[in-house]
Amino acid sequence: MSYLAAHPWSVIALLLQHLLIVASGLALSVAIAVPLGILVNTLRVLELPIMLVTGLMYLVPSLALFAFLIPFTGLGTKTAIVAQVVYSLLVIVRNTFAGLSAVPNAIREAATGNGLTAAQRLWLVELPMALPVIVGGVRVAAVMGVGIASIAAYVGAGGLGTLVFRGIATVDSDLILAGTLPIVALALSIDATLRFAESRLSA
Amino acid sequence: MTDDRPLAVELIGVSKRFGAVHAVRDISFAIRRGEICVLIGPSGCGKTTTLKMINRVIEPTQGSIRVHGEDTANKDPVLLRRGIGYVIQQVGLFPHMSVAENIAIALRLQRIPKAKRRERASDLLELVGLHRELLDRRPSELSGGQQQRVGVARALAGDPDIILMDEPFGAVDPLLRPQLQAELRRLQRRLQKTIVLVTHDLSEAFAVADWIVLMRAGEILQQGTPRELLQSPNSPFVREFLADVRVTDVLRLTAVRDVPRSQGAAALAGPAVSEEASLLDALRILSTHTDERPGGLVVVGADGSPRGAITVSDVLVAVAAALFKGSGT
Repeated sequence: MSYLAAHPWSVIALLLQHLLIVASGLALSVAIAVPLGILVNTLRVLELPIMLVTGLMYLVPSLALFAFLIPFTGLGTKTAIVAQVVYSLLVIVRNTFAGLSAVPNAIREAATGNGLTAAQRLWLVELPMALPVIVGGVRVAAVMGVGIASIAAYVGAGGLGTLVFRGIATVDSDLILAGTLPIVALALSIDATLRFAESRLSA
Repeated sequence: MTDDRPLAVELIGVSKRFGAVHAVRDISFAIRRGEICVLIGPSGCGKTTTLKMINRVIEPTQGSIRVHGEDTANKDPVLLRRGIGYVIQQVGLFPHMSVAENIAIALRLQRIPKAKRRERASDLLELVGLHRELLDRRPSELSGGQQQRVGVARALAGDPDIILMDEPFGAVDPLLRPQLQAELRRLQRRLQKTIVLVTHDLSEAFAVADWIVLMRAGEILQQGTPRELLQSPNSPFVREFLADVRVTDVLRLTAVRDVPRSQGAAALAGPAVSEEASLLDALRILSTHTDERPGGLVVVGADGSPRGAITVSDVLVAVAAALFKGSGT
């Protein structure tokens, strides 16, 4: 623990960097995956192709994915963020679709019958009702993102993974712990926060 | 019927096919403004499909539907629906919205300010017999009957002239239904709305209808006032369908004037009953004279002049005929 005690600010700086990668990756994932989920719910024929593609992307091992991405996105943060998006799509698309399709037909019909347009029905009824399930997907993606961002230190993305990899290279368990403990704390607190949001929304 | 009121809804030769299935086949009927029309028939008869074609939740395959004289095919379906209230069996309240927000959803679409929406929701809640306290509750916190009332309030929010109701009391405790039906009737008298109601419950139809459309297998078998249906069913199926009619409905819908009279009744003395009165009224009068054991009732016209008499057995025979055969045919 001596490294953590000796250099608290540099650890905090790495933590913030880590958080930034996770947050940007997550924002980008939501911006892509939620509309995709809506699309799948509207055009059911797309369910199989979209689920297949996002499912395959999810299966690619992370180091292989980095190796594949580097020629396009180079070394650094960009690669970390893109990788996170690649892994998050499946779970957020799937949960958005699941949440939307769980809206009972009677509710949908009541909305239409009461004069809501398809867009109003989506915004005022279906998405709010699906929100807890969507947030559940975002939570899983966020926790996964913390892990992916850690490994992304390997391709120079920065973040807390830097300490872990440096510790492994120099066989310095103190350094490894200084990276690992904040990573675990970050993952747990993101999980708890979103879990809370989820339960508030579904109440 | 009084025929001078304009038509609110008119279906002309309407059919609906789902693939190879003919759900509704060339049906026509009209509903006058301020009337309650009940579509009734066994499940799968096409009554719900017919209802949903009126607000274009389902598009007809053939024929035309007019609402206030205008062909609905030429209207924007969303605008059409905003002028027509809609109540469904599963109620379909939005679970993430409060009671107030649910009721006022139509007003929100019209961008009416929030305070005004709440005020209107509150008035409507009272109109359907619920307390204002419920405004901020979630639908899940209400009983089934309360939810159904909120559903009716929501349908009334945009002040539509026409309200469509698909088995509105189907999910409600059967013991509560007669009360809700009576309330619907009262509400309709007060607001003068045109209501189209779908049910498979004969007693519900007789409790609320001005006009009954009896359907089977996508076709109309017979339509008319409850009294017309009861007195002259036009086919064995209609007769059979009406076999479950309740005694009280028969009594309520049969007029003293229509009771076939036996010979010798003319000489009878007894309490007076108007020829316009129903058999239910006649029995009520008899019940106030139980000590005298009258053999019958003296029938009087609107001006009070005697028009003969009916015996108690005349009443009994008329009821029996209506209950077991469908009298008149």
